[in-house]
Amino acid sequence: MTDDDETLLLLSAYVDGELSPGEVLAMERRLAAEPDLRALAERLRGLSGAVRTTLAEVPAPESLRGRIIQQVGFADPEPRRSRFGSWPALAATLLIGAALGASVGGGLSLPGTTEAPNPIGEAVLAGHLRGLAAPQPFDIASADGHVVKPWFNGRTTIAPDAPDLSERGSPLIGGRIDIVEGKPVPTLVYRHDRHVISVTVVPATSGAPPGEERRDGTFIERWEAGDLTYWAVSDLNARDLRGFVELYRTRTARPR
Amino acid sequence: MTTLARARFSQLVLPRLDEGYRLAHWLTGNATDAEDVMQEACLRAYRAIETFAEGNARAWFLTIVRNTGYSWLQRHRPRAVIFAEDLAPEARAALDAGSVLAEAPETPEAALIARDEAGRLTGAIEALPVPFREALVLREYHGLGYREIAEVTSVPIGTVMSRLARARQHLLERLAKDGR
Repeated sequence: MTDDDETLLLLSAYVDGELSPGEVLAMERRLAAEPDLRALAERLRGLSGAVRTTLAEVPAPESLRGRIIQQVGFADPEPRRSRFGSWPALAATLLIGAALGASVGGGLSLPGTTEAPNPIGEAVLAGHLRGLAAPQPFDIASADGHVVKPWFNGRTTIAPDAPDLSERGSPLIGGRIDIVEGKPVPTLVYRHDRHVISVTVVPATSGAPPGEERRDGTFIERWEAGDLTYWAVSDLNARDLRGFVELYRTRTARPR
Repeated sequence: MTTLARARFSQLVLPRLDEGYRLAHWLTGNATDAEDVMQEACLRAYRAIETFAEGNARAWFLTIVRNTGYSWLQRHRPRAVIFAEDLAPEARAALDAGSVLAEAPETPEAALIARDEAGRLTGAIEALPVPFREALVLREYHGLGYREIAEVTSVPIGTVMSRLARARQHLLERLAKDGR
């Protein structure tokens, strides 16, 4: 009976697609020769489908999410409002940001608070925060744009210009790969004073209009150039970040 | 660091609540207990989130839910866990009787289940020993590969393979018996 045991084991793994190529070959030969085995394989497949349906049918309570969020001590982003807009005390900071933006920014438009949640912004911010939490915020350390830019080749489909802005107080310190919407994208890392600035570049797909946001002390600016959207994220103050962004844009707009 | 923790929590854990809940549900066997397990698991995940290295966030979270579910079972239903492995010989006995392979496939399972009350299959799944049940849920509902299941449940891949085969063996048996 050990043979049957073994057979069921192999057949079950075969149906799951977990056999090695050699084992698959052997199993398929057996299946071709043994009608009983074929019938059992069919039963296993049928069972899988039915089990899958049954398991997924358990209703998940809607209240769970709310309770868990409450438990870990922060408010859940409302689905219709900006995700950036739902953190505690954010209304106040947005107002301040808006005032600052109006008085200082001039050219930059501000996003409304009613915009849809932006998963790209979420991912970009998360990448920046992760960079800060890591021993260093970059995967490749280099102050040379001619090293950083080609480093992205083969790792992402975008290789952004990486001008060194050290003469203006913002040296390039490296680059890293972030994951946005499941795809690797390049992030340039600059330093200004003691602050890290991440510039993440994603394909200009949709949604986010140019503008700036603030979230728990982190400023986010985004703009478009060509078919790319640039996100600059830093805990630098809004004015200096804006200055950095203008500088970066001027330098990368230059024909090369 | 709370900004970071929150950002990561809402990115890594919140999207997986329903998924985690279903695992907890199938482990504990009922809705109330599943919610308790989920609340505890999420708290654990939140506390551990800053130490979570980049990797398979899904498997990471499911592991926490699974382990929380296990300690919950140990606390509240020690017998379910202790006797789980003891039930394994039954599976072997059934297998040794050769019933699955010997039995003519009178009814294709899919049809049997379509005709049937999903309740029978549910009952059969619930009757599985916990280690078999969790392997089955991780495979069929969560769609994890054998390697991932082995990581989540901390057993060798070979054990995952045999638990799944046994679980299916149990179910086929039980359905065939009920169907008659």
